[in-house]
Amino acid sequence: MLEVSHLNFAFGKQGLLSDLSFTLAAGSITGLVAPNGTGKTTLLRCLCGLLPSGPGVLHLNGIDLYRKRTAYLAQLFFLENSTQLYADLTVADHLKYVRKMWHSSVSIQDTVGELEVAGYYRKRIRDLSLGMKQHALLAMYLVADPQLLLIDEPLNGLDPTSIQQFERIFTQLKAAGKTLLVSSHQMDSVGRVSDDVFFLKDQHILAEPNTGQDMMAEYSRIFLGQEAAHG
Amino acid sequence: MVSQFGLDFKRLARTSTTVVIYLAFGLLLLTSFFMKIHDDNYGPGLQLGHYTATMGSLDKAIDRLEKVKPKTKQVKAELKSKTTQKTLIDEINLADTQLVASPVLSAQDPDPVNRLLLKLARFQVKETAAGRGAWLELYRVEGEPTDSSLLGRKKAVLLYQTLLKRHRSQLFFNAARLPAASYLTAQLRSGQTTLLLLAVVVLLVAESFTLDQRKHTTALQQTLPHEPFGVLVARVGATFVLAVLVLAAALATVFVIVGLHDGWGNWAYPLIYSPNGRTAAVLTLGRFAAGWGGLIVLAVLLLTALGALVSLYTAKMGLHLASGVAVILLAVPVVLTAAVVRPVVRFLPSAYLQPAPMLLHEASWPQLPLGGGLAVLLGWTVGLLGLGWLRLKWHPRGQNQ
Ligand SMILES: Nc1ncnc2c1ncn2[C@@H]1O[C@H](COP(=O)(O)OP(=O)(O)OP(=O)(O)O)[C@@H](O)[C@H]1O
Ligand SMILES: [Mg+2]
Repeated sequence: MLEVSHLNFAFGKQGLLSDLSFTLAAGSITGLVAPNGTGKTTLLRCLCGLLPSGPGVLHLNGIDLYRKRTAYLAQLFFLENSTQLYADLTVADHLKYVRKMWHSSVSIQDTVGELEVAGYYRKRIRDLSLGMKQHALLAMYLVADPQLLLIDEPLNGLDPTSIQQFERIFTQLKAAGKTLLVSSHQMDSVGRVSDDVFFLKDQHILAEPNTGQDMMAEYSRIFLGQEAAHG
Repeated sequence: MVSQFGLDFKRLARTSTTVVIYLAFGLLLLTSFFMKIHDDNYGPGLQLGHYTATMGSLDKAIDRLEKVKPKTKQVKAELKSKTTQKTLIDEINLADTQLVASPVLSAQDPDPVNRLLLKLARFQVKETAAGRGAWLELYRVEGEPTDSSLLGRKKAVLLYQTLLKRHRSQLFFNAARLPAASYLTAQLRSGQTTLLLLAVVVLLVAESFTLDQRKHTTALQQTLPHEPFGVLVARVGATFVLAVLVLAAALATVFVIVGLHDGWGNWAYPLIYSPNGRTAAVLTLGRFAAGWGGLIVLAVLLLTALGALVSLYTAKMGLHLASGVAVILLAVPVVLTAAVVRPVVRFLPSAYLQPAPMLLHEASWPQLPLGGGLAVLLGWTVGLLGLGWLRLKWHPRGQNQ
C-alpha cells in the first residue's frame, strides 16, 4: 500500500502538485488522467524519489522513502518511457539486469512468452519500433516484479491487439495483489481497467471510483468545462 | 553489483569511444615506429661513430700532452691514462666494426666487443674512484644520458658483465629499428608517451561518467534498489577494467606489428638502474614491463576514482576532461620539480603516475620509495572514493539534486 500525505511539488515558481494526500491499495489499478503538461509524469517521478518530496510524505508498506530509500525503491518500478532504455543493449540485457537488480524470481522466459517479445529478444533497443520498445519496457516491469508499478502512458504506439494484451496483463497484476498507477490519455482504456481514476487538475487530485461511467465525458466535464457535452 | 558491473561494462564497451581510445593508444605507441619506418640507420652503426669520434679526441689530447715540456708527474700520469683509453677504444672499435659489418646476423658474436667494453668500463671505474675521472674521455652511448659519476661507471660495468654473461649485443633504445620488446620498453620508458596514454584513459573515464546524462538514461540508475555508492563503485570497476583491457589490447597489437616488421626482441635484456644511489642493479625488460603494467593499472584506477567523484558534482564532459588532464599536467617533470610544490610533491598522486622513474629510480622530483608510492596512489584512490561515499550519503541521487 502506498500512502501519500501532503505532497507538494513545484518547478521553481510553477507549482504543479499542491498538498496531495491519497493512498493506493494493494490489488488495485488507478488511472492518472490530465491534459498534457499538467504534472502526471511529475507526480510519478515524485512517488519514486526522482524528484524531492521531503521526509514523512511517502510511505510504501510502511517504509518511508526518506528514511529507507533502498528498501522503499525495492518495492517499486518506474521507468518513464522507452527512450530511457539503453539503445546499445538488447532486450535480453535489460531483462536480465532488472531481474538481478530487483532480486526477482520471475521467469524471463515466461514473461517473454506472455508479452510475445521472443522475436526480438536478442535485438538491440535502437533497432526496435516504438511499439516493440513499449513491450520491452512493460517486460521490465513484469520481470522486476515489484509491489508498486508506476506506469507512464504505456499504450503509446500500441496496436489494438497490443492494447488488449497490455490491459489483460494489468488486470492479472492486480489479481496478483500489485498496486498499479497508470497515466494515460486513452479514456476508453482507463474506463476498462481502472478501479479508480485520478483527475489531476489545478495541482489537486479529483479521485473518482470507476462505476462504469463514460470516462471521456468525465474528462470533458472536468477539463473542458462541458457538462456531458459529447454525443 | 555484478549485474551493474556487467551492464556498465557492456554499455561502455559498445560506445564508439572504446574504438577511438584503442586507436589512440595504438597511434601513440606506434608514432615513432611509423616515423622511422624507412630509416635503416640502426643503433650499432651510430654507436660505432661515437667510438671513432672518441678515438679522434683522444688522439688530439695525446698530441697536446706530448708537446708539453717539461713533463710534470701530473702530465705523465694523464698521458698514461689517455694512452690506455686509446688502446682500449681502438680494440673496441676494431671488434665492433667487424661485428657491425658482419653480413650474417647469426654469425655475429657479441662477446669480444662486450669483453673489451667491460675492460674499458672497469678501467673507468678504477680511474673515477681514484679521483682521476676528469681525464676520462667518455664516449656517448646512443639513447642513454651520459653519467660521469662513479655510479654511472659502475652501471656500465654491470651492463657489460650482464651482456657478456648472456651473450647479447648492446641495444640502443633510441635506434630507428628496434625489435618489439625493446621498442615497447623504449615507449613505456618515455614519460611523455606514458602521460599521453593516461590522457587517453581520461577520455574513456569522462565518457563513462557522462554517458547517462548525454543519453538521457539517468533515471533507471537513480531508482535502483541499491546503495548509490555500490552502483558508483560498479561503474568505477567497469570503467577501470575496460580501460585496462583496451590498453592491454593496444600494447599487444603494437608488439605484434613491430615484431612482424623488426623481430620480437628479448625480454631478458637487462636495464641497469640504481636502487639506492650507490650500487647498480639489473632489471630485465620483462620485469620492467610487468612492473610498468602493475603501476599503470594503479594510475588508471586513480583517474577512474577521480572521474567517479567528479560525476557526483557535474556531468559536463569538459569538466571531467579538465579534472583528469589537471592531474596529468601535474605529473609533468617541469611542474613536479617546481619550487612551490616541492615540499608536498612526494605525497601527490601525480608524482607516481609514470611507472618508469619509479621502477628505475630515476625521477628528477622527490619520490617516496616504491612501496610509499603505491601507498600514495592507493591512498588517494581510496580518499577520492571516500569523498564520493560522503557526498552520496547526503545526496543519494547524485549530482544536480
Ligand atoms: N525538468 C523540468 N524543469 C522545469 N519544468 C519542468 C521539468 N519537467 C517538466 N516541467 C514542467 O512541468 C509541467 C508538467 O510536466 P509533466 O511532464 O509532469 O506533464 P504531464 O502531465 O506528464 O504531460 P504529458 O501528458 O504531456 O506527458 C510542464 O509544464 C513542464 O514544462
Ligand atoms: Mg508525461
